[in-house]
Amino acid sequence: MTTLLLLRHGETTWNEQNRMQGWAPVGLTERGHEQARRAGELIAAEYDPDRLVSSDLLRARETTAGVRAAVDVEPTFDPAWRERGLGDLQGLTVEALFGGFPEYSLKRSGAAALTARPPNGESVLDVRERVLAAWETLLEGGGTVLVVTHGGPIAAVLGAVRGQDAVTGLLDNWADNGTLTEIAVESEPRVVRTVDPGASR
Amino acid sequence: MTTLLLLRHAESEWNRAGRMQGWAPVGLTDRGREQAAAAGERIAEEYDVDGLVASDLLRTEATVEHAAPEGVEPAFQPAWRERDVGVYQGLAYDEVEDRFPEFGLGEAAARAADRVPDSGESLVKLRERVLAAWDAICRDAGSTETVLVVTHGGPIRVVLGHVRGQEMERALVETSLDNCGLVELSVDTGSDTPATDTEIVRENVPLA
Repeated sequence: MTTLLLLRHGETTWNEQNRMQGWAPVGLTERGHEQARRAGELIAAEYDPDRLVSSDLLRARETTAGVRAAVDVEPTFDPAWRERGLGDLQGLTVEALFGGFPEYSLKRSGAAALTARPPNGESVLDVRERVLAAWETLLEGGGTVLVVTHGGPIAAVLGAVRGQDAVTGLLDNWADNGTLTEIAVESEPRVVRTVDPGASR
Repeated sequence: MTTLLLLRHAESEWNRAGRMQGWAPVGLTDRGREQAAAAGERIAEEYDVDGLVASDLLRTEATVEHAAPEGVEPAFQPAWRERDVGVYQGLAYDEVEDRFPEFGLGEAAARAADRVPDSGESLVKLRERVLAAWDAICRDAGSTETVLVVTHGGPIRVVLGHVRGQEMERALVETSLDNCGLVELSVDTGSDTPATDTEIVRENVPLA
């Protein structure tokens, strides 16, 4: 059986400030490092990953380093698992971005926001396509795979696994920092559970 | 002689917060709006502006909105934008100076002028596009006209370095420029070499 584990990176300074990160090289807070370490302990206790794939952005790399304190698997860093590239909108607060530019808000603009591409950035659909292509490749590989990635990619995968439309999938499946989602694949993938390793103590 | 006025935009929210702006759509602070209005009044008193060219980023657009002389239609041009700092956009100056000094605002960045930040542009590229826009103004402006350019710290330093015949590395580091600081150049636009036939009349005059 194939098991896929999706881990969202630990808390960063910009998560704390509600600032939209995109591809910015922002590091983890103390709390974020702790979340990564605890996720690693939980994964080591309950799973036996064959492979570890991580986004190559700094916050994912730092999370992967924390996980590897307990999980002894050599990581592969893959830009396909990056968060959405926000281009010129990177660094704005959530409020400034969606308040000032509601055309990017799925809540306010619905399906029209899926294709809204910030200057020099990616649309939500661009990211969904890039992530689901990487996801399909992982499914073909089999085994137990840990993926360290971001909120957007995790929501894209979970929405697709749950058969939701793109807007609902992205809005309903936002993972907190440091939470782990297990997906089991037999004939079809299904979501087994989402767990917050920090809260489980 | 043609008079070229280079005005840096007024204080933005990220100037105040100390964040790398690049092409981010960040607006002015209340203080910035006051600076822009005051700069507009001074410019109207001291000059008779015939043409207005500005960067099309939000902070320069907002500065133009408050500072533009009456009856002069602004032409917004991407060539007058600040450097695109790519993935470093939004980081604090201090953090970039600490962790990625080659893409910051100091000497290390000036020395690394050919380095391209991920998803951004090098200082060399910035210089090329700004000087192409500068050449176009020198070519098109009448010999008695006054043209106001509302832009950013990077492009103004590039132009000053160019007319001083200075290496960009030095021009970037040695020129200080405040929000709404004004540079006045007197250019012989009829000359084959307008850059060397340019006098820097005033530099970083605080207009607000």
